[in-house]
Amino acid sequence: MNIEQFLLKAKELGFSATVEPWIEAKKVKGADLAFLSPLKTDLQWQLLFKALMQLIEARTSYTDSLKNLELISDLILMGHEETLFEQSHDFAKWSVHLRALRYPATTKRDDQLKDKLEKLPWPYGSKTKFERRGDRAGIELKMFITSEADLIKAISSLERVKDQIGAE
Amino acid sequence: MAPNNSLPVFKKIYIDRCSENSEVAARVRSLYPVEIIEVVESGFLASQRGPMTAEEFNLSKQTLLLTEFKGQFFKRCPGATQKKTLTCCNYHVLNLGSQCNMNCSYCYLQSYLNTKMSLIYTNIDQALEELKAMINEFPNHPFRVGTGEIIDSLSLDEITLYSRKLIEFFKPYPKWVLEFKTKSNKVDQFIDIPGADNITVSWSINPPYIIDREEHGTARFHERIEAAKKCRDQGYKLAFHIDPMIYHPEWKENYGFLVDEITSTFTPEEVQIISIGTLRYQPEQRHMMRDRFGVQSLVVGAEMFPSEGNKLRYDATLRGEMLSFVFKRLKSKSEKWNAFFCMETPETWISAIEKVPMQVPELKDMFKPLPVVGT
Repeated sequence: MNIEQFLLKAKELGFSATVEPWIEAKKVKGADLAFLSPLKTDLQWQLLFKALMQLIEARTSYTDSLKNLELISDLILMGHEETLFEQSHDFAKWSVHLRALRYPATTKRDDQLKDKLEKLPWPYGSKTKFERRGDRAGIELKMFITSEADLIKAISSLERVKDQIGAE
Repeated sequence: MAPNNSLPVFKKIYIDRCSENSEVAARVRSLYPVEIIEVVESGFLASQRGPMTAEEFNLSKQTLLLTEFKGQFFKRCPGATQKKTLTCCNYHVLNLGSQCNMNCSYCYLQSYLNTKMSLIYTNIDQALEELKAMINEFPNHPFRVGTGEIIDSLSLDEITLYSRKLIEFFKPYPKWVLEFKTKSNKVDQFIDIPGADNITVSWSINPPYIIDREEHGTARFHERIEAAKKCRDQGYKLAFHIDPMIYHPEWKENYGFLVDEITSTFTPEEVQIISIGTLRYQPEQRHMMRDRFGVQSLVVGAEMFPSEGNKLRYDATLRGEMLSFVFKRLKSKSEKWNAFFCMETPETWISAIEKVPMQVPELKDMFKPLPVVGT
């Protein structure tokens, strides 16, 4: 996919007024859009440009735009149409929705793991945040320790967490 | 030595001037119509280098160039060069060509090759000289040498007959193990030569469900098993690479079937190793795969995430579950099955079998560091 072909398609389908300035502003190159080459039909391209309009409107960064466009392109090829645009009024929620569509099994497993991990007896006053980092998912744990006594209590809580995980 | 089925299909075969008088060129002339063969001058190969589109990659499988290799034939397996992140066995590779005439959706060559045609190197004698020097330097080190890294070891072997030269070459050096790795069933061209304990014929294998969907142009499941039986009966050692395991809803049933077939057909004594790995690929490969196979492919549509070493892989927990399932199924048949994980992180080893290879007595030797050669 080169930029000229991309812009031509945008023009054909009536999206060039928004797409052209975006390409220019974000300095998008043909290689950045390599994932678009399997799109064939006008319906597929229309869905793609409609999604791009939403991303432009949400003022997403260059990286977020391309990452989400690739997800969207996969989803279009998988046969998604209107389901793509659920939650699209709020970029943060939309992004989560798109990932859930593209990675349904992982999303389900992550949700179950999150539920399980969040119910564990983490140390009092600590903050937990469930995260997926690449191919691994887990809890980020933050604690503020001011004394040896704090530390002993935290270790004791973590021992209980370990025992509970081990018992399952 | 009659070929067991039709010859590999090429639309065009070029012979580099430097390879014009080679044995392989003579054989090509005897096997293929003269109209598709053309002798080219040196420099032709250089003109064929560069990044490939999906279409060019497809075409590169149908065009063959016979030429000489100018670099070092003998190298460490790419996994062994990532020892900081991966736990790898001491595999070495001898590259006698590049590209493959089969067409697996997950093939890593899609992000690795940059030559717009398949290559067969005609100067095997030079490769054997290089090997001979290595063997003389380290005769008692257990090097494992595979020829199936960037080309299938046997799918083009009816053209080269390199298997015959390599088998005879390795036989006097029992510490050094030669491994042919293939997804074909082409063994008839060497099967008249009696096998030896240090000659392994191995199959990269998946359940029929995956072979039918993702391994296009390869030998079918039972064809590979039949070819393995022929080699076993002639005294060759066998190996299986259940790699890449590909997730799909019925994966347990299908990989269970695969393990049951292998363990009911062969004994642990006949099969030197079974390596197990899950789907992985370089991120830049995804575009080529999407173009060539579409998102309906189980590989292209897979849920993959960036991992240690930058490759895309399944979620680590799922990976551990898949590897552990096959490992435990094998061990449930007999503790004697010698299995290990290919290109995996220490964390995955621990999550799957609670050990790293150096803690597994039967794997210790295979993973023990060897002198570094051919980086």
